[in-house]
Parts: sequence; structure tokens; C-alpha cells
Amino acid sequence: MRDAFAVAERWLTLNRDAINAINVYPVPDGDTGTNMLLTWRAALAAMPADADAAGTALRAVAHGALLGARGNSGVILSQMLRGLAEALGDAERVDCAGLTRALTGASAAAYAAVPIPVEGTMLTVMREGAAAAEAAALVRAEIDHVMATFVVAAQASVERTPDLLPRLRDAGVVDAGGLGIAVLFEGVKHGLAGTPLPAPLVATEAAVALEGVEHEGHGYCTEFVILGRDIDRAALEHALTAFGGDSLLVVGDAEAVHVHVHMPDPGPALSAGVAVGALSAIKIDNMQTQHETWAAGRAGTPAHSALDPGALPAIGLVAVARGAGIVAAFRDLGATRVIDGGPTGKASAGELLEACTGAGRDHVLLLPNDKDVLMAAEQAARAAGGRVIVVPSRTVVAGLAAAVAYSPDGEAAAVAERMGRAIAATRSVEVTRAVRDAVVDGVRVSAGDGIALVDGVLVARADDLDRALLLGLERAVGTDSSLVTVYLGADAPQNSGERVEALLADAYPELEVEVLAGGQPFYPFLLSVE
Amino acid sequence: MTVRIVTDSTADLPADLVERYGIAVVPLSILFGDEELRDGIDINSEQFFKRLARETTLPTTSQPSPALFRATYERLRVEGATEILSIHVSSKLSGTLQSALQGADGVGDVRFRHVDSGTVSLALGMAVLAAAAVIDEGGGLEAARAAAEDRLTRTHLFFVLDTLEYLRRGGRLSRGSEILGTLLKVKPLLAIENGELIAIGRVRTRQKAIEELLQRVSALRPITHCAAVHATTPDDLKYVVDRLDGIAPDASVLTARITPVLGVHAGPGVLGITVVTAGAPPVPTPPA
Repeated sequence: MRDAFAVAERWLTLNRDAINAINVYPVPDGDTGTNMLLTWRAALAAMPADADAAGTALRAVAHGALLGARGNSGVILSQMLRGLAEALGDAERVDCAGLTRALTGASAAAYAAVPIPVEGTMLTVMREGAAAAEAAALVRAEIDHVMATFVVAAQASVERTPDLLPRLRDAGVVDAGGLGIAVLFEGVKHGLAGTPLPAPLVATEAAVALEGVEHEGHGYCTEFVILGRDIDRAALEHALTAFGGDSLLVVGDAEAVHVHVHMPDPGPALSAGVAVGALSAIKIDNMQTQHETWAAGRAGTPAHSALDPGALPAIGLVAVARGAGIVAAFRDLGATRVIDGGPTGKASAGELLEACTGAGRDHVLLLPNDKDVLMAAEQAARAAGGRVIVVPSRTVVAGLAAAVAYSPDGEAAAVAERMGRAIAATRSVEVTRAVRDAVVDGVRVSAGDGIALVDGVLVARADDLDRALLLGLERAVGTDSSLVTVYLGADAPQNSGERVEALLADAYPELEVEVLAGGQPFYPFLLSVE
Repeated sequence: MTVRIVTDSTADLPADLVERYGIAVVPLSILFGDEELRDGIDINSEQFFKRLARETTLPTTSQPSPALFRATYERLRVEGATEILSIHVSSKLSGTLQSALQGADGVGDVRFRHVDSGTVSLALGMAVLAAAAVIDEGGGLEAARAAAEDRLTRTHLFFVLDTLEYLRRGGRLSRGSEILGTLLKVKPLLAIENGELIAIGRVRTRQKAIEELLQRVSALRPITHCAAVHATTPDDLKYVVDRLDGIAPDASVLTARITPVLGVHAGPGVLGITVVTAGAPPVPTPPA
């Protein structure tokens, strides 16, 4: 089974760019393929090296995916794996009946994970694939046959997604998440059957450029498994954090624990592990080389500080944000921690959970600041058991509006409620350049066009960014608007501050305007209208 | 037996009520450089905010001298007062009460009661009026004091400022300054609690600030008395009064323009709401 999952990982890696390229939104940070791949890698990394029972192994895989899930597609994928594992229970090995049960279970779990299931997405692909697999098993109860049928049905289902979802039809693409599912299970099929992989969907030399992106940062990515008895995971986490460990994951049970940690020196991490059990599956990577690929695109974020628990607020605030100015604004408004969400900006549930750990004495309010991080945030909140409350900010400027309404004291639910109201009273305008040709939300755009999104919906294209900004504002400014805040991105053109201020003074003389250097990647201008 | 009431200019009491109840108002001072002006006497709110907009150096304030209290108390004694109830701005915000106590020392043949209102503006003003009403109906010093103190336990005062600049300079903020931030411009929401001025929240726009205050006020219902003060925004005052009429239909709304001494610390654009709740102070509940 490890082989099958590893082949699927390889197959998804090869097809990732093809999947990224069909995101409906032509914005530079919406990478479904990458998010699914990072989630799958987290799942694979959690598979015990020596698990004898398939059910046990899959439970560990599902747990790894749960914490490693990035983006909404990753979260749904992690729920599919959970459904898969639960359907198998403690089965020693997977037989044909078990396989069909598991596939159906995966589909059911995925549907249950989203409040309003949308057809024409990865949900549909999983469901139709699983139904075809069940039918196939009745004809011929052989695993290879059932898997092959699943894959063919899933691929056909992917082709039909534009018929079910108008925005896909408008954009002239199939669903990226659905394609990801078809690709993953195609990889599993080849892995189980031992057949060679075909040529990828779109063979691009860029496909290897993002290898190892989950190992961002400095120092050494250190992973190992500890086998022992009565292993105290909390104590281990505490020790690793005390050693300066970052991106920490300590997953497993009292007998087997999987550790993933970024350390300036891997030595103390290994020693901490040896102290509680026998080490196996040790893997140490130097992250410096991988980091350099990403350094240009990422602004510095303050490292997690070892906060004095006495100084912790009763209600903590954790935000996902990038850009020195934006991060500073969150800090200034009282955020206990700001994390950057990794290479794609889509923080995993595990990262969010870790950031929330010890960020507040009683409660932690979590601002995902991205509609594609929302589900991972909710997953993290569920795992934290009521201590973490997600304030559903879908954009970073909505998150800042919410942070203004934050206070570290009082009743957490009431503070969250107030922050939610602040979000509702704020319109977000995001201005960037289209990364490819597309038709989305009824707007036709070409690669390189200036585009403006209002509350996440593409409303306008223009030849240049300034015009896109004004067209976006036209949609966002209402009769009751009084304040526009502009955050200049890292790649905003020179002298943008004064120019934008003059533009707005001219177009909206009655509005108060505040311009700040946000330093965010991808979006030269982010604006909030209140 | 004649009871008279003394307060200070931070009570924001309108002139007609001062006159009707024969209340003596001792002024604090505003200092523009070396020029000392008696609050509400040498300079009124209209003149003050006009001048504030022109001045390059910002004014400071000073509590009344014990001598000024002494003179006021002596005048009331001469007018026939045998008992004086002297109610003042929170001792955590100003040394006025200290001056009043010193001023009373040695004023013969008068029984004094001094009250630290623990608040300011019309929250103080309405406590003074509660005492005045008791005296008006023939009540004595202790009954008047009890009425003022009872009302104070049920009084809540909230402010929104247009800018933090004046308050920061005045150094009157006791607690909560850390939530106000410095990078983004915010409108601070303030309240008086236990005699201190504290920051209770922040919002980005004035409109939201006013709504937030009204929401907090609304959560305190049932309300028996309301008051609102402004500095330079009569339209906002009118809006707040209309909304208060809806929130507390049975309570009339007392309004005033904030006195120059408070304007020095709050700045133009300040808007304050005072409410008196019915019965015992309720357990504060967050707005739904």
C-alpha cells in the first residue's frame, strides 16, 4: 500500500502544473494541484513504515492528511482519506469488498465535510467513481478490475464537470480538484497493479521546480518515528518547541509517534526522541536550498516566539498573512501570532493548530484570511475541541477589519461575533494581474490584464492596475462608505502610494483614504472599503 | 437649614439647570501658554473649539485652586447655606476634589459632604441633578448625597473620540491603551469604569463607533435617564438623541456641548453618551 500511495504522489507531482493551470480564478495564488499534493505528501509521510494491518496504516495516513491538509481541496481530500480509513476499520488487508466499501466511505465522508455540497467538483468525481467501482465488483470481484473501473469512471466524471458547474463551462476548464482525484487514484491503480505510469497530462519542465515545497524555511527538516510505550506526545511537543523547533507535528499514539519538525540543528530533536523510545524512519533534509526558491516570494514573518504564558491574553488571536506591513498591522492590532501559510499561503490544518496552541489562555480566535484556508481552519478548530474559534475572514483585508474589532478580554464568542460584524461591514478589493486567459464570473480576461476582485468575485478587467483598482472600487464603494484603506503590495509600481492617493482623492473626494505599505505578494493593491 | 450644591465645570451642566437649582459651578482652567482662562466663564465651547483649530501649541488644563473653592463656599454661606454637598469629577482624573476638600477647611458653621463621583461630564452632571431634585423637594444633605451616590452606581458613560492625539498628550488614559494600536487609524471607544478612563474598543469609522456605543448602551436596558454630549458635531448629537429615544422611550435625553476643559483632553469630534439604568447595576452582558 505504501508503494501505491508513493506512486500516486509521483503521478500527482507530474500532473500538478496541469491541475494548477485550470484553477477557475486566474489569480496567482490559487494552486489546487499544489495544495492537494502537499496534503497527499503529509498523508504519505504519516504512513507507518512497518504497519502490518492495512486499516491501521490508513488510519495513520488519514490523520496525517487531516493535519497536513492545505486549501479546501486538501481538506476535502483529507476527509476522503478519513472515510476510506473508517470504512476499512481494523482490516488486516484490503480485499475487493473492502475496497469498494472504502471508496464509498470516502465519498460519503467528503460530502459530509462540506456544508453545501456542490456538484461538478471533486465530490462528484469521487461519488461517481465509487458507484462505478461497486458495480464493477458485482461483475468481477478483482481489485485491479475495480480500481481500473473507478479510474475510468472518475476521468469521465471529470470531463462532465463543466456540464454541472457553469463557472467551469464559462472558464472552459474541467474541475481542478476533480482532476486531482482522478490523477491520484490513477496513480494508486498503477501502484497496486505494478504497471508503469503513462505520460503526464501536460509534460512541463516546471513540474519539478516546486519539489519539496513543504520543507520551506531554514535549518533542517527532521522527521522520524518513535516506537515505545506510554509516549507522552504533549511533553515531546513541549520539548521540541523549547529546542526552537518550528512547523512541529507530533502525530500518533502512545506506542508510535511520528515527528516532523524544522530545527536549526536536528541533534536535540533526535535526542528528545531517543529519550522516550526507539527511533526509526529517520529523514533529515537541509531546507536552505529549497528555501532559496521561495525566499523571493515570501516576506519575513516574525518567528514564533516562546511566549511567557503569564503574558498570554485570555483570548488570543492568530492570523494567516504575508507581507511585512500586513503582518505588522496584525501584530499592532494585538495578534498573538501571525503565520505565513507556507509556499502557497494556504496554511494546513496542522500548522493552524500548532499556531493556535499556546496563543491564548482560554480561547484563540483564528483568522484564515483566505476563502481557501477556511476549511483547514475549521478542521483545526474541530481538532482543538472548542478552544479555537474561526472568524471566517475570506480575504486578508477582511481579516484586518476583524482584527480591529478584536479585544483580548471578554467573552470569546461575543468578541468573535463583533469581529464577524466588522467583516460583514467591510468590502474587500483585490487588484492583481491575470496569470492566464479565462472567462470567470462573466468577465473575459487575458493573461497580464489588470483584474479586480470584490469580496472574492472577479468584477472587472482593465489594461492597467490603476484602472482595475478604480473599477473594483466602483463596485465596492456604497453610499454609506466612509473609509478606504489601501495596502501596497511588494510588487506595487514605484510611487504607488502618492499616485493612488491622488487617484482616490480625485474619484472619491468625500472618502477618507489611508495608504499603508503592506508588502504582500501577488496583489499589488489590496483595499478595504468601510 | 439650607442645603446648597457645588460641583465643577466638568459636569457639563447646561446653564438653565444650574440656574434653576442654584448650583454653584467651580471652573477648572484652560491654559494656552501663560494665558489662563476659566472654563466656561472666560471661554465657552464655541470660542474654545474655534481657537483650538487655529492654535499651533495645544492647551493644557488645571484644577481649581483651594482658594477658589474657599471663596465659593464662603459666598454660599453668606447667602445662607448651612449645609453644602460638593460633588466632583473623578479623583482619578483630576485633583479637583482635593482642592475642594482643602477649600472647605476652615469654612465655619457649614456642614460639608464631599462626593467623589468617579466619573465626569453629564454622568457627573446627572448625579448632581439627582441631588438637586431631592433638595428641591425639601430633602436634607444626607438624602441628597444618597440620591447622588445611588445614581452614580447606576450610571454608565461611554465616549468615542475622533483622534487619540489629545488623549495621548493629556495622559488621562488608565487602561486599555495597548488595544488602540498605532499603524491603522482607529476611532477609540472609551468608558469610565471605577473612576478611570479606559479603552473598551476600537473601530475604523466614526459611524461604526457611534453604532457600537449605541449597541453597548442598548444592552444596559432598562434605562431611566439618558444624556449625550458633543463638541463640534451637532448632527451626530441629533442622530444619537433620536436613537436614544428609541432605545429608552420613557427617558428624556439631556444634551450639552462639552466644556472646554474636557475638550482639551478629548479633542473636537468627541461624542459621549451617559445612561442611568433602572434598579441595581446589572451584570454587564455583551451585545448580542
